[in-house]
Amino acid sequence: MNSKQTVNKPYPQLREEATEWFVAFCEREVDTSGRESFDRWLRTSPQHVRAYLQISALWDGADMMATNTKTNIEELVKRALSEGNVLPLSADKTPSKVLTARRANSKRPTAWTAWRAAAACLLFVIAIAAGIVEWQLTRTLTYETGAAEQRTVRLPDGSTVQLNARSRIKLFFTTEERAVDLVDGQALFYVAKNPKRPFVVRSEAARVRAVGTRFDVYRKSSGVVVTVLEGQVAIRMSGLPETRLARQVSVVTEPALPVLVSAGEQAIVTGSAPTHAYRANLSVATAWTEGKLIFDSVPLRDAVAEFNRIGLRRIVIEDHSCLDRHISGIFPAADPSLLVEFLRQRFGLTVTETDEEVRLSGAAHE
Amino acid sequence: MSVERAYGAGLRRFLSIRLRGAPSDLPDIFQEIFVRLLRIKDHETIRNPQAYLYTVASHVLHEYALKRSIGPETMDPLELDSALPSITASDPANEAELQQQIADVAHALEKFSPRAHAVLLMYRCEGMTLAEIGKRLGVSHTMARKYLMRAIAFCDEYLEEHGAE
Repeated sequence: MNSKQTVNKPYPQLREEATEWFVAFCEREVDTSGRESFDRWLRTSPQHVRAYLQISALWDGADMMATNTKTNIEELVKRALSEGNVLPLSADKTPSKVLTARRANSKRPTAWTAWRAAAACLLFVIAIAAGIVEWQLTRTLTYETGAAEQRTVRLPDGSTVQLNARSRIKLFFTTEERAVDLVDGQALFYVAKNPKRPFVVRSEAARVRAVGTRFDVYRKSSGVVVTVLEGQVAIRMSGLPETRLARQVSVVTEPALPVLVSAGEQAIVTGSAPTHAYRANLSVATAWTEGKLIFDSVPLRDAVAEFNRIGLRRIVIEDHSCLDRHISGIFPAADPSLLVEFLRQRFGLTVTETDEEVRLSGAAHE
Repeated sequence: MSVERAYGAGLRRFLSIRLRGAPSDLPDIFQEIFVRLLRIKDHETIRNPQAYLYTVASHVLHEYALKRSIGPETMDPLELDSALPSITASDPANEAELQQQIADVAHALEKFSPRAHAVLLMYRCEGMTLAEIGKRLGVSHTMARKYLMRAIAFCDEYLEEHGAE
């Protein structure tokens, strides 16, 4: 495939650069000055934009590879290893000396095997050391997302957290408990089962405890919304350690009972107590994970606030008379232009748009 | 790891246009994205250049989709998704074809380099880190990263050569 040099191949070195940048972003290696030079790189030409977007789009589509090949890691690794130590790189680029050397050395003498065993031992030691360092680091890890950014994080215990835009979590993992503080925003948790080491999400005064389950916590200005997709969680309020709580429960204090929320249910914690669990529309609650916002008769005020919380462009509605009107619909979260168009038609508002802001003004006659 | 998730629909649409829509429109689309990107002050974009790029791109693609479908006057956002022409990813036939094409790419990659293929799948679909993958394959972190880059570049190149005419 590589040897087939097509005439229509506009940008091989740009592709390399774009890939380099893309992987650096995936690996979260790009710091402030890196972002600056990436921004400059991107602003060089439409070809740069093209190269980067094509890589991104490809990356996005590559998740379909899994369903196609029925990923079996063992199988993959086996096949990969049977290939031998050859890295077929297109041309000049980075065929490492080590690899070429190994390749030449394909008939390994026995000394080689001994050396390999020694190297493996050394690697093992290094891996353990690295593991310890990593464990130390991860104990107080913070993960956050910016505007219009989503991110999926694998936690050291094997759980996964999907972060919505402008969200932040902090990990406080100990040997007894896996505690995560939701400091801002919204996150969907896929908890790895471990009954001996409960997983607890803390947000404001709420403590949401789960053992192997899938649930979403959204720290809204109006309260902490907990939605359970699988399994069950128990919400209690902080300041009451379990043993004391248990004692209290057996005596009188009814409000101190944890509220149990099961799959398909939702509860909101406002102030000092959660509401009772009620049936929730799960697809609405987790639409954000698919980059959508779903509104089912929601006041425009709240819908706009939702967009503004996550988006890059602020929507400003100057005509306050329509803020209390209810709207329904499914909108792409990253792109407020659909909502804007909808409002323009529905309420007859005038739209003034810049790249940072969308202003809607003018009387709404109905 | 997946900033692009938020823009999945937009990016998927890109891929569709590239593979089976109207790739001849792409230069104009990239030109437009580029121009709009330049209009944003750089101190704004520096904070998150990637997110800005994806947002601008999704606006431009959205407008492109509108232009190719019914006029905006009759648009109802609730129905827009189904009203979009075949370039939308939500069209199941399109999605299936896209899947087929991705499968072809994966197949070609596997033939080209089983390792690069394995690394890409473990990284992209299994959420493994480069360090984990390196350990699995008995190569260094740096090497795993090289395989990943090679895999991505290969797929991109493959699409460039085998995409829609």
